[in-house]
Amino acid sequence: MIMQDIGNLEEKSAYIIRETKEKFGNVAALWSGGKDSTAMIMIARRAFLGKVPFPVIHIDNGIDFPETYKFRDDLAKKWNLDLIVAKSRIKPELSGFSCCGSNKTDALKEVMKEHGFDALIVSIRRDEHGIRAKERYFSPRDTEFKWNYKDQPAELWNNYSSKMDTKGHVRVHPILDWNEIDIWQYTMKMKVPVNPLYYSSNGYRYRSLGCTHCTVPVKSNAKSIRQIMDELKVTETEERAGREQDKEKAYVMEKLRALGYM
Amino acid sequence: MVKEIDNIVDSLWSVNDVRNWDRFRKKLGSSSIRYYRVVFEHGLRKADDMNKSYVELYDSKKKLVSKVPVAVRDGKNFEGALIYLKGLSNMNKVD
Repeated sequence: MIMQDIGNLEEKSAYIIRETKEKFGNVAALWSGGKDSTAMIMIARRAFLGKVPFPVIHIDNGIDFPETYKFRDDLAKKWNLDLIVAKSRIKPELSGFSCCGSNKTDALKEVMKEHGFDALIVSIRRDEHGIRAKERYFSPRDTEFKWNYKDQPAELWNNYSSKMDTKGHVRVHPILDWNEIDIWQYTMKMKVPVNPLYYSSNGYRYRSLGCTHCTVPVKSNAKSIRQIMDELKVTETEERAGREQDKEKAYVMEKLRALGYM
Repeated sequence: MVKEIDNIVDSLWSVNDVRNWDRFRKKLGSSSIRYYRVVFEHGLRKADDMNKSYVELYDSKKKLVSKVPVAVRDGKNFEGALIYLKGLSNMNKVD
């Protein structure tokens, strides 16, 4: 895994976040309590001199890890975040695919409609999953949250189009070009708080966090960020190996994202 | 104290509503419970699977103390109740 210059990465991401705040009327960001969205919020804090100028949304299906709830509530207080908890009711007649697809996406639709957000900052990275590699920094969604990845504005030579013809909303992905080790490098350098589930206990740790139903730990002895980074330099396991939906058929994630999933 | 939380756990298995979960939450901090393990024994594919799922609660020596439901019920609706376990540490990492 190649480490990039996190100074350059942060500068670009901060620019995207500032541009979003400037160009859109009503912005929100998704925050799962995981390493990527927490790093993104740190970038936003630094971009706006310590205060995140938009609400952060946690989509809560009630079966996230208790550590994640504690981390969320403690950090929201510490960083004075405007936290919106979007409750997602379990519809257990659905399979794992629909558990994320309907439950989480429906909760997101409701909160977006209620608050009238026209731009949503999402902390996905291209290296996480093949389908996420097809994303743009600014990507339109229709009123049903559907994503047509075959019809997106080109983003050539770092020229972005933040204004687009959509009656839905625009997804903004400010950390698209970061990779997993960059996030950890940034987290260590900026002393970004870390959800304790990422650290090893009893020979296992969570490398990618979802809810308790969909996420399983991976074997690891890494008990610090430096040890996590050392592990990542030699690992041959995919980051989302512990995420159930990704283990299913290859098209599942593509379908989920086309329907509005994060 | 152990007896008291045991009674609340019994109540939760009868009626896992917000009131009983709040009662449980209030007593959790002063109990011996330190770790949890979530068990979705039948996955999560239909409504009944949620009712068959449970959380095992362990003390500081990682000895099983009790089991509670995964869900909190509000009339016919229900959702996950793991926020009520805030402060406990994960045991799912252990084989």
